[in-house]
Amino acid sequence: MGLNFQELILRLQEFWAGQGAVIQQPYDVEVGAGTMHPDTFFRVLGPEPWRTAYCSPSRRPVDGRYGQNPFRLYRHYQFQVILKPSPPDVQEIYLRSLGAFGIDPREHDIRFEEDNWESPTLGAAGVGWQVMMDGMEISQFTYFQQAGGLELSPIAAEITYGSERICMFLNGVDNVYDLAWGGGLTYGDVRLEEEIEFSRHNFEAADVVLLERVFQQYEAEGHRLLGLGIVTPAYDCALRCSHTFNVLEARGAISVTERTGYIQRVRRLAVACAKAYLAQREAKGFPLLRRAPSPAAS
Amino acid sequence: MSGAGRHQVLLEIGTEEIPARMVQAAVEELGRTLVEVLSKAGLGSASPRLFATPRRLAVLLDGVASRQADQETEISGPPVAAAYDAQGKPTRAAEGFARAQGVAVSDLKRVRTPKGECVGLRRTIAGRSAVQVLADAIPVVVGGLYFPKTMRWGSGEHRFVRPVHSVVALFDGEVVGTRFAGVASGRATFGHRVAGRERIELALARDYPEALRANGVLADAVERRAKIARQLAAAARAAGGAIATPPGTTPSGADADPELLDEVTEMVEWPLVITGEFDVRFLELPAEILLTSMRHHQKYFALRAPDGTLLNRFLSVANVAQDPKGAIRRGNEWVLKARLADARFFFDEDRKHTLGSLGDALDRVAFHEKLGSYADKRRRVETLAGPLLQAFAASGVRPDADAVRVAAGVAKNDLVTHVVKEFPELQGIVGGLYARADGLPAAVADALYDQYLPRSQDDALPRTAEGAVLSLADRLDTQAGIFLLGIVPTGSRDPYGIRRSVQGACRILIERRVSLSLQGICGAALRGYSGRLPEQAVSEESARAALLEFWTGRQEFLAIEAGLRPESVRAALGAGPDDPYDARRRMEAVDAFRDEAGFADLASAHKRIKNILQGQEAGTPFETARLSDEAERRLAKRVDSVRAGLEGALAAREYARALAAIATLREPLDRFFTEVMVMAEDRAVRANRLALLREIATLITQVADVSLIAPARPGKEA
Repeated sequence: MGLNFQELILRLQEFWAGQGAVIQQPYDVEVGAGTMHPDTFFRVLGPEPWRTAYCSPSRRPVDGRYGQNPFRLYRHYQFQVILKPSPPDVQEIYLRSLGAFGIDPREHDIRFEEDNWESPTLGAAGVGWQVMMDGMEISQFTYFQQAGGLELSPIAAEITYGSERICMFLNGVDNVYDLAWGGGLTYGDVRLEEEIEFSRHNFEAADVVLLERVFQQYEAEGHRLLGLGIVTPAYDCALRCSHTFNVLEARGAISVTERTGYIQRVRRLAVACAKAYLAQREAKGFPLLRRAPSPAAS
Repeated sequence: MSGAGRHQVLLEIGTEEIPARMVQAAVEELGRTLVEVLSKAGLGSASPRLFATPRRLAVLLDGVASRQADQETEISGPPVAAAYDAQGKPTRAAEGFARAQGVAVSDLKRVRTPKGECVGLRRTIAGRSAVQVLADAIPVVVGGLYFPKTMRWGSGEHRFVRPVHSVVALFDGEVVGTRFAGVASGRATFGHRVAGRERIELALARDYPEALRANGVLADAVERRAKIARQLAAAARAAGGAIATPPGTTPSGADADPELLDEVTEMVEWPLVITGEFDVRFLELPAEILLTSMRHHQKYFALRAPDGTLLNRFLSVANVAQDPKGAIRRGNEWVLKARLADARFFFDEDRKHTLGSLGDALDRVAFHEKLGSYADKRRRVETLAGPLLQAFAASGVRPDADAVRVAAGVAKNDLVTHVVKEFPELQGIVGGLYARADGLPAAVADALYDQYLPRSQDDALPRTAEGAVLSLADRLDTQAGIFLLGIVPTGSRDPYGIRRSVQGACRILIERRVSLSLQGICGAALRGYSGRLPEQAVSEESARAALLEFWTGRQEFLAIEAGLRPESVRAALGAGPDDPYDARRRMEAVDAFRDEAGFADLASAHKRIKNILQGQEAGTPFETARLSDEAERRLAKRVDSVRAGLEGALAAREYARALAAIATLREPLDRFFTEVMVMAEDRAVRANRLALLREIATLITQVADVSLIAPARPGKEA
């Protein structure tokens, strides 16, 4: 029997803490991916070194399946790692991390297959792989090249573990809701109702007029805050716009021609936040350059 | 001095996993450029052995010389007359030259140059060693490799397809000291991640393939591919089946799925084919979905039984030497089960609705950012089917018009199905499967299934006339839209696959023997966008001109590909490219007829007529009564009989017969040119003769502009 869901996340946190990563917690504004967490989006900018790891609940309204699909979720739990600059042995460290939850690379077929990543809303793009184990994608591995519309240097490596899939694979479970979470409960016990309700909300019930207004207001507020030199709260506005757009899209409220416009508006705000953040750090003399966290204890 | 040497050179760039699709082209370029460098440097012209895996690009060269030959050169200075004064003492000019060359004036010799006798000296430039040449060349050669996408890593200073970890550069046993992407060269490579050592010191360049083999890496991709193919064939036999060819791909030779074989070859360093099984109940799903499901994400080979049905087995190629505990097989089976369960879920969800009921969602699916939604496309394609149906009917092909209309109305509905969202390459096919399941007529279902055919140049065409109309309407609509945006595809840039789209449409018209006017049908396609395109870049008129010109180019390309000689093709197109089927028939006739005796004379005569008519205003119509000479009367008579004979031949598209009739003009034309002065003094006589020639030119160019095939020899001018 493999690890249960919470044990998997705990082992990953422990492993990466041992690699000198700051163990963060999920961000408390809705995100579609761990990349949108400010501790990734902002920290990959500029010259300062940074290592972090955290579990990131990721909301994807269009992926909701009313709890009926055994593999697809409205909200899933990514485990996100950022290593900046990417160390030369980053692949080996990653392979060792698999041992943390009981996978011996010598008994499996582990491959790095080309898979590049792009987020038009964040003005971000990276080059890398999906990591396949015995034919299953278990992680995304990305060298960030650009974020917030800015070319990056040094380059951060991002590793994203698909926690649910890995755990299902380890346990030979065919339905995510049957997965043992911990505390004697299953994933379904903990989350099924939420999946059903949010599917109903995103596909049927969300108030389109309200969401459109909310989008506009957060967009305006974000730009206003940036005008005052207040950066992180402005980025929260960008995240809220992004999530609102995702719900509108799931709700079928966005036409083809409108779609590009919405994406560009979120992007404009996110890019402005990135520039402002970088300027702020520069004004402070990039403090972490002087307090470089000691990389890998091992 | 160039020539073969006896030495071996190894260059290996060790990297993180290179995308499979880029490996082969990169290593070929690496081999080619290294050979070029060495042969340009006069160090031999060995043929390279190429090695490539996901983690390394390597070239082993044999027959390299150890150093370049020394080169003698002569450097000349001022002329002797200017170099010495009357007393024979060196002048300032001679001193200056000697100083610049770093020699004493007394060392200057007299040398002969094209400018006369000068002072000068001989210098020997020592040849460089192969090691030195390679050390300089390697960073340039490797840095110059083309990759569709590159990246930076770590400090961000270097750029390559993936991070570089090692550079092995050996001249026999000597390290070629160089650097690439911040990595110093050496003699240490690395083995398979799991099955090999992390560090392998190579004593000699030629030890490379065997050292890697001993460390779990089969570095020769050709050998690796053959090994996979052998294992696949054996595993398929053992399972009682054969490799299945997936929809939308083309088998070649013994390989049922060569594309996938190429791809998996570049994804492993040491291959092991693993046979897995899945629940037979999944075989209830359409074979197309099963096959794609296995292949798309999983890169598994599907198996079919001798009766053509799928087996509940699959073959997976792993990057390991063995699977002793069966963990890899079990893992792959688990993953496929998940995938197939997913596919069944999508299929069952899709089947809760009829295909016809999905159309409402199309206004939210983008056909093209600037060309609107698929609902817009549906409206245009439905309209465009009208004139196409007419053209088909007029050509004796009679598609079921109702079936075409129904099919056009639901053709894009499958784009909103779960299965197509998951497997985009099944678009069309899924529409066809669902239409059949909904009980729509077979003519509708087949048309939907085949609507994207042909997908490539060698691909099959739609099986039915209804499918052909649908495919054509869809293609012409896309072409029109893209050209209205002012986008004209070029050899290197064709983001919307317009070249393939036009060629496919052209093949359908020709092979279905459908005659139509491109002017007319392209005009109709462009009108579909009238007044609805906010970002239209060019007028309908200029879009049409550009599109027609593009079509002509593709017609020419296809005909030459089909083995017709370029001049025949151009001659027929020169007489009118507007009806691709008709133009092809004329090309074939010209190509067959042009070897007949007398054709060259006819072509020359035509050329002569065209030269005479050049710049002449079209005047009065030709009148028999005005003819005076015997030769011109005979010619006119022959023109009358040719015209009469042509009518029947042209109507039946018997262009060889038409050309034979036209060829009978040659003899009276020759006589006419010998005996009659076209440019007569009398204006009326002259105009009448010109009119006669114009009439002949018109007759000829109903088939082809044969003047384009006239032999290039100086002819008499009238």
